[in-house]
Amino acid sequence: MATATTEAVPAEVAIRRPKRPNAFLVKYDRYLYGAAGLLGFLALWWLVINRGLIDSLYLATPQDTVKAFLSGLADGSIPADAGPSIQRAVIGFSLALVAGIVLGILVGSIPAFGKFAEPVLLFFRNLSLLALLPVFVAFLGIDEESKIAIVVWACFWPIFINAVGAVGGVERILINSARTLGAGRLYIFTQVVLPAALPSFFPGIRLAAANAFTALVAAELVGGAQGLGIYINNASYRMQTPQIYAGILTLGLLGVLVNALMAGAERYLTRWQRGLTTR
Amino acid sequence: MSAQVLNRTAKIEARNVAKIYPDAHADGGFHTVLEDFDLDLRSGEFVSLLGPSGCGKSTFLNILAGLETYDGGDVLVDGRHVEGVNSDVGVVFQSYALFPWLTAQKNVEAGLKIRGVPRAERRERAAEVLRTVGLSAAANRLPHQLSGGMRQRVAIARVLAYEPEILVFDEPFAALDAQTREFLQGELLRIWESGRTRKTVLFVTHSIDEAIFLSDRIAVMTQSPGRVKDHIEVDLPRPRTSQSRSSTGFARIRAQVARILEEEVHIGNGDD
Ligand SMILES: Nc1ncnc2c1ncn2[C@@H]1O[C@H](COP(=O)(O)OP(=O)(O)OP(=O)(O)O)[C@@H](O)[C@H]1O
Ligand SMILES: [Mg+2]
Repeated sequence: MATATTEAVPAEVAIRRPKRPNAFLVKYDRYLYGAAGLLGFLALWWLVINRGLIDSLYLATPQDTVKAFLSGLADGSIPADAGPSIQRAVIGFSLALVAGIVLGILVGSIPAFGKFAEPVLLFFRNLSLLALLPVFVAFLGIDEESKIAIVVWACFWPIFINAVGAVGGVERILINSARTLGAGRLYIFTQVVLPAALPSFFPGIRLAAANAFTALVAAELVGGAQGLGIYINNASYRMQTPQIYAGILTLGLLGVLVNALMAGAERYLTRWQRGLTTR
Repeated sequence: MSAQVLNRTAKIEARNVAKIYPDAHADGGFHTVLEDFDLDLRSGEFVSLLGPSGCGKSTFLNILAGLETYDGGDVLVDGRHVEGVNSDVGVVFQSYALFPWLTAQKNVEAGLKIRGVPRAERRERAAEVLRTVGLSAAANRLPHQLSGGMRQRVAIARVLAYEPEILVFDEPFAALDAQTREFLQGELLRIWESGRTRKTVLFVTHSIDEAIFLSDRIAVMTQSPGRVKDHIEVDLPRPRTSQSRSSTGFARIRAQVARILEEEVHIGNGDD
């Protein structure tokens, strides 16, 4: 009986191939949605000026912004100001990274350290950066030192606080097993605690990277010769609206770049976790 | 007991060892985990430590490895007091304790790297030990890419690689299924019996059969406070094979050990 029914149905009808998904759409899905969203944003931006909802004295059109950005790149005025900013951000962030992780591991793994430090840390960790700006300027002037110091300050806390917690989360048994293998303090710090806690360091590091430029621009607005904050400030004095937005665009692009770098570093350094976590 | 002359042929000597933990409910109370704990191991002897859950087996093992302090008595290795971690005591932990960011090979190399063995030499040595435990093919995998039995073999390979004189095992096969467990017991014996110099082994287990199959002697502990209640010599011939498990001698010793344990707590008499 079963054979009879199968024979009655023509072969081409019996097997219905599933529709193959469009390979192009599958591959570029993310970018297509992203591009559409970006276009929508640009259109809205253009529209509010075009319709006269916002005066172009306060908000430059996308075209004017891009034009100002490109000519800023071409005549070297944007690189001239972005260069010093990037340098300060990188130096400040790197100093904070080393200090935050080394001190974080120390405070996190030596209980007595933690007890001593706790009240002081509680006071400083959430203290407003803007409130401290005048203090930094008073001590270090408005030159490189104070600007870098502010970046260090802004980057240090998230890295440090996060590292203290991450070290506390390292499994005791891993440290014990390293000790029975004959490991000394230095080996345990660098070859056990550091790699074990590394994945948990990243939220703090990413936050710090985001903080770096925010703090830096705040510091540059106080004064100085060169920097993106100064570029924006000067454009604003001269009422060069497109240049203001070209400066903001530069900062935004740098943020995207920093984010990509951080994500890449994280993926690389925690690659052993692939398949272990859901990431 | 304390004034006696210490037996110089013993590799490990534990005399009147006491371990006290403060009670968790911070009311100044104490909890005596070990009291009058005595145990000697001759050089090259394989001794199993058997006892009910919570009697202090892991505690003693950690004291011997120098990971825990003790509050009374003496623990000596080669006639010297245990003070801090002794890297001549290799430990295989119950939960493997492999470094999850290192491949099997790199895990096995860790002890050698710490000892400053040059790269090429430690690679060769690690590959050799991995071959011994039958894991050459998995050398470049990370721990989470291995099965439980494979991880345990890597953990064993890691201590074998740097050749400590004493090996201590804390219920290494407890989490494995019966077949894998018996297979690894056989492997462990084969490796131990074929070693250039017989290592001194202290093997903590819950399983009577495992203890008999592996050991020269079984030390049975009491329930809290823990101490060694009795010793049973396992006079089965070596090398032992799976046939040893069905011999009459095996059954006789199993009955004997079960009786001693049952007096202590009713934990059954087979593998758990
Ligand atoms: N750090 C600690 N603080 C307080 N009490 C502890 C601590 N470690 C162990 N104990 C107690 O000591 C006793 C013995 O623990 P131990 O881990 O040595 O037992 P065990 O014989 O290895 O048990 P099992 O066979 O279940 O592994 C238990 O009652 C446990 O609660
Ligand atoms: Mg235990």
